Parts: sequence; structure tokens; C-alpha cells
Amino acid sequence: MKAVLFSTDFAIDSDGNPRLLEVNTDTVVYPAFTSSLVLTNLTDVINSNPEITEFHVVHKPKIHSAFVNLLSSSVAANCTNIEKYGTTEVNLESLYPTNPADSGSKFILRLAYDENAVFDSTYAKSNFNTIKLMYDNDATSSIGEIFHSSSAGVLDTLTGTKGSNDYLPDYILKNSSQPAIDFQFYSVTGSVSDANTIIADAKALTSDTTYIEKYYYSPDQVTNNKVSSLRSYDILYGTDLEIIKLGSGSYDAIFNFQTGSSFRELQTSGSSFSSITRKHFYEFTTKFPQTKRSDGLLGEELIERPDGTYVSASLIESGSWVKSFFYSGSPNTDDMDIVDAWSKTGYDTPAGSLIRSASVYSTGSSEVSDSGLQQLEIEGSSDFLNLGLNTRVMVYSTSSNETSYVAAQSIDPDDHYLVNPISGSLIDITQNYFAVANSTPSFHAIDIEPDDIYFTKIGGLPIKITVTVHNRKPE
Amino acid sequence: MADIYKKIINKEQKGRLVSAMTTSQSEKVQNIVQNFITYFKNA
Repeated sequence: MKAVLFSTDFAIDSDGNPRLLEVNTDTVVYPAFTSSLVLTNLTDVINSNPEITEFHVVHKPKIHSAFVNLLSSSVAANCTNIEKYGTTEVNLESLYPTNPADSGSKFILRLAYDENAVFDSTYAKSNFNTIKLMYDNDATSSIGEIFHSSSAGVLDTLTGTKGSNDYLPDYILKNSSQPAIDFQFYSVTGSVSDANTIIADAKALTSDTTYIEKYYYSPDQVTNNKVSSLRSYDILYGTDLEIIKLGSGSYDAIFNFQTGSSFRELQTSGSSFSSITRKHFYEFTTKFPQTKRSDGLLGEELIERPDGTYVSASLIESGSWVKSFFYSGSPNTDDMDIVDAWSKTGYDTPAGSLIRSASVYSTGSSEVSDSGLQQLEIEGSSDFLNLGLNTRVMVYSTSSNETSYVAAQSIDPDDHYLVNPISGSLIDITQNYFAVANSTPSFHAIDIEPDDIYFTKIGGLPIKITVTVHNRKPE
Repeated sequence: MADIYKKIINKEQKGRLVSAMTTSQSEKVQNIVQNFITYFKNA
């Protein structure tokens, strides 16, 4: 029997009703939701099928391991018929996991995204397809008011209203052609209330690759100027596509929204709509920080040259040279799944390692529309290292006694130290912040050869603090 | 120095608390999830 874990996210309208926003596979069960999980709903289904003797999980250890541990414990404690527990581990960036052969004696729960599965590739991948499916089935009160027009069809339920809060958006423009969080928030000018004007101006913002949705929030669920949304975790299983409810809850935005200057005063010439800068993304949504395209260094960060001088990440050119390091035993690859899987005991630099120079094979930069970045702070420094959430940094973990490459968003100052392989020393990380820039940041990635690690530094210190960064092929 | 609008200690944003839905919201959410799956099955 096959099954897939999925989550669904909902905005809450002013009457407290949920409005479906998206369906997700490859979904992370965040620790905060653990207490809401009722795993016996799953084990009861397994137990109701006594022919099932094997429980198998297809998952990505980097994002699912904590949940897999909960699952295995619950199945072990509650399912006496289960004689075999198996797992298939999938690389973080894989789109096509290898699924075990199905049989009547197996319960195969897939946590990893599968491009071959229609549920994933059509609906989880595209919020628009999810919304359109609801619209096509007349479930318009379960989704937000929307307008879209293209060869895919016309969706038109806008009523031309605006919200009651001057400090929150009224509408969101979204991409319908690809999975993206390139949301553009809009506010309707305060003096405009005519529904036909609002509808016409909203429609004018769309193209055949975008759709516009009404922005919803519930005043009853705004606490300390933080909006909230709802999430449900469920399992879809069997040939009849039945649902197992696992858990759900309401959670807040990362940041509170700002008051004091109404967005409605920012009128755009010729339209009743005003666009709102993207730095408010994590005030208006409850999303967890987005990692797509968030790889590399902020342009102002410095990359060390072979002669010990530095060049800004935004200015480095293909064909130039940087100081690099051959770290004996570290995988010589740009495949991030292999890089992520590597670790070594301790933090001493292996024999045979050496400082070298590497040629910059290619460079690239990518903007992140949510304006999010990671800031590492080192004791004594008046500045931070600003880098993308997915940028792999060499760290030593005191809890595991291992050196590995860890994405900046996962660096834990209570556990991790920066590693300087040249001196074989550790550097204490004071704090790791998730930050939002005032303007849309660009991250600069370089691909170097023959080595894969290069050095940057955290400024403002009397001594140079070396940060060891794994390169990445620019997308 | 990066021009930062807001920031939060990484662990704090990762540790955001989840509160229970109201009974009414939970029922409505589950109803929408069920409807979506029904529509998916029929699509």
C-alpha cells in the first residue's frame, strides 16, 4: 500500500474561515507541530490491515529525520504486526526518488517529492493548479477571491473589496506558471472604494502567467501585530486515496507588521493599487524562510585571493584566481547531496591537505525575492558575514565531534564552530540571525577548480577570521 | 555593512510556537482537505 505525506496551508478570513493557499509534498514536519501529531491515526490504519508486515519510509534525511524517528517509534510501539521496518533515503535535491516495489504486505510512506507522481508534479508544485482545481469544482468559498486569464482558463471571483487594516496588503499577485514565492503585495489606495475600479485595476496587474488573489487575515487572530495561518498534515493512502489526519495548528508570521505609515497612501499613478516592498514578506506571510536560489555570499562580502588580498563577491570574475584549499578526504564534487553527506571525525586538518589556488570557472548571482539572508556573528566583530541560507560553511559540531559542511540556515551557535583548516583551529560563532534586507539582496556564487573550498572573512575584527565556504555551480 | 530591515535569532524563528485550531476551524480545514482530495481523484 502506497501513501504520501502532505501538508496544506490556509489563510484565515475575517469571519475565521480557512481559505486554501497551497498543498505541499516534500513537506517538513516542523518541531513546533510535534505536539499536535496524532500518530495513532496512522498506526490504527496499519493495524486494520493485518496483512501489512512491513513499514517503509521514503524520505530525505536532511529534512525528515526527526519526523522519521517519531514514526518509527510509534510504529514499533503500536504495530505488533510489523516485522520489518525499512527506509529509502533520498538526496535533498532529488526529484525522482527510487520507490520500493509495492505489495499487499507493505505500507510505503513517501515523504520525499516525486516528479513522477501527479499529486506532486501538478498540485504540490503549482499553487495555481491547486486553486484552479477547487475553482473548477465550484469550491470558491474555500479559496481566496481570484482573477486569472490565460489559455488555461479564466478564474474570476473578485468582488472588489479591500481589507480593514491600513498596514496589511489587500491583494497578492502570484506566479501561475511555475513554483515560486515571487509574491507582489498590493494595497488599494485609501480613498478608493468603488468595487468596479478595484476589480479593473486588479485585473490590469495580471498577465497570462500570473494571478491575483485577495489577501486574507482574521483580526481575531492577529496578536502583537503578527498575522497567523493554519497548517494541516495529512497522509493520502491506498488505491481509494483515503486520508489520515496527522496533525494541525495555527502559527504566526516570523515578524510583526509595521504600523505608523499606511500602505494605502502609496498610490501608484494611474491605478488605485500600490505595490508594497518585498521586505515585508515575512510580516504578511507565515512562511518559513525560503531557500531556493539562496546560495552564495552577499555582494559586499570578500573572497580571499591567492596573495591574501580580497575581492568583493560581486566583483569577482571568471578566469580570476582565489585562495583555495585541498582538504584531503573531502569530496571533490559540486554535487551538494554528496557534499552534505560528507563528514569526518574531529576538526584536525587531515594529512595531505594543502593551501592552493583555484581558478574561478564561473560566477553567478541570484536575487531572492523574499529579501531573506543569514547573518553569522563572531565575538569581537562589529560586522556580520551575510550569506544565503543554503550556503555551505565548514563547521565542527561539538555534539557529534564531526566536521562537515552545513547550510548557513542550520548553523547552531550552541553546537557549531567555524573551522579554519589552514590553522586547524576553531572559531566561536556568537550568533546566527535570520535577517531581511531593506532591498532585494543578490547572492554571488562561484564555481572554482580544481578545489571546491575558498575563504571569506568576517570584517571589523583586528584579526582576520577565515570562513571556509564550499563552492557551488551558479544556477 | 548590509542594509538590514529586521532580523531575529535563527533559533527563535525556527521555534515559533504552534497553537491549536479552534474546533470549528479544524473541521472546516479537514472538510476542505477532503474536498480537494475528492476533486483530485475525479480530475
